[in-house]
Amino acid sequence: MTAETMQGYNYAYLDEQTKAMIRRAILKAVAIPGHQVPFGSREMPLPYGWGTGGIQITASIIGPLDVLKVIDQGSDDTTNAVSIRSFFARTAGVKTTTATEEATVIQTRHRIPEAPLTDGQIIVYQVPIPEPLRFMEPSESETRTMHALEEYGVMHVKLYEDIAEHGRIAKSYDYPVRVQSRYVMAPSPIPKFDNPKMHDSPALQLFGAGREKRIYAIPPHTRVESLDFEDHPFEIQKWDEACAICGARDSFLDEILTDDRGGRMFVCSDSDHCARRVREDC
Amino acid sequence: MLQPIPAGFSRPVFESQSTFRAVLQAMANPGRTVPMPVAAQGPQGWSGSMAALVLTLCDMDTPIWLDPSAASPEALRFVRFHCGSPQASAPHEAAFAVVLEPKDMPALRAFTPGTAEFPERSSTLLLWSANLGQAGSGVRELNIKGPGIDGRGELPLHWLPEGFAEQWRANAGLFPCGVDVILVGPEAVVGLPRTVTMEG
Repeated sequence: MTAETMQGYNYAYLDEQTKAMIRRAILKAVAIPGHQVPFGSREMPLPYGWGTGGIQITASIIGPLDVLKVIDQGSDDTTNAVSIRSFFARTAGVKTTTATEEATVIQTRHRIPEAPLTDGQIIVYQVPIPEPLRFMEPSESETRTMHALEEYGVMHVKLYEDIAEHGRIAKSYDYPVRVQSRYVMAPSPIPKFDNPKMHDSPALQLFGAGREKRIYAIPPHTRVESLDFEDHPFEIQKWDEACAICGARDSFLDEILTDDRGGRMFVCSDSDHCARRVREDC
Repeated sequence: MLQPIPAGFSRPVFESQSTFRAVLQAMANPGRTVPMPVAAQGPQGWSGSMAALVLTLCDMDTPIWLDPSAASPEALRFVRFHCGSPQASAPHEAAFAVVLEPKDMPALRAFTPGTAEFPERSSTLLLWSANLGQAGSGVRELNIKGPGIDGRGELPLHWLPEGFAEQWRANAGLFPCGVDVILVGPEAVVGLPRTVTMEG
């Protein structure tokens, strides 16, 4: 533990009984891949929508030997990422990093790093709406029954309506997946570009929704399929441009407006991936 | 008269954290032998690993069932004092069960598998396995498959109680319901979540 570790709070902010409750929920979530386990979400010192679910999971698993990376939309240096990283540096005394391969725990908002994850790493997703069926069925008791009965027809109808209206499945983020051929799961608002990375990943994937009080998980080496149709197979985004900074053609690109006369550029959303490519070229 | 109570963890916050991470790795990678980082001071007859797991996972929200060989007066005091867990009067009421005598273990179906809507409300068994971690020669291995296992894994048959594999097939057939098992050796754990299938 470092000298800067904050005094006056329990280690990693949460009290031990809360951690034990969350730990039990995580273990059951791992045992039932894709199933949403309710938990007693606590009030955290940041607003809902800023990652209270992810933070509670990270606080419950993290220890002094961990190295923590936090990203927001792929970037290590946005407000959300910086403040969560410093929160754990101060309350848990952990080492932090921006390098994907150095991290033992990665908390993420809306991206999966471009660098492949490895065995032993844990990635913690911040989830706003954990229920993939929510916009089709507002009742919690109904969606719970639908999951119990494996009644997912409505989801395919929704995707089909997209095709009827737009000629393709229009959903480009939080694209629903089927986990180990059983539960339909919301992957959190990651771009569908990242969906294939969830399949057969060697890392453990944990999902926390603070406001909605749900935890779910995908163990390593688990089958994760994006829902689609035979004649409209799942596809990820593609760009005609390369990253303006590192030249990458295989990473997820953000469009940045540079002036008010139509000037724009495309750059990697994963800032660590981009910086590494620039370093290695030099 | 006051009776002594075993001390449990010496650094509860950090030792329960590292114990949890070992269990999490074990459950996320079924069949993998994960070393236990801590031995807690527990009641007579309990390994340090078993005591550490109970201290980490159990509290007043988790009814605990102790098999007759685990349920000494000292162990009951230990669980009451450190965890505050209610005693489950029967296996099917247990959130956690400590089984120290595997050969007399109740049938897996005696524990609760949860419901279709709430499959997480199922028992987790902490099942003592004295041989866990020992290779032994000419040992029969079960093939195991499922989420968390890269391709297929192997599990030595002599780590399990007799007749366990047959019972497990029925348990795995209940998915998404079913009980989860943590095999607890003297110095390591192996996770068997309900998703594991066993062959051979």
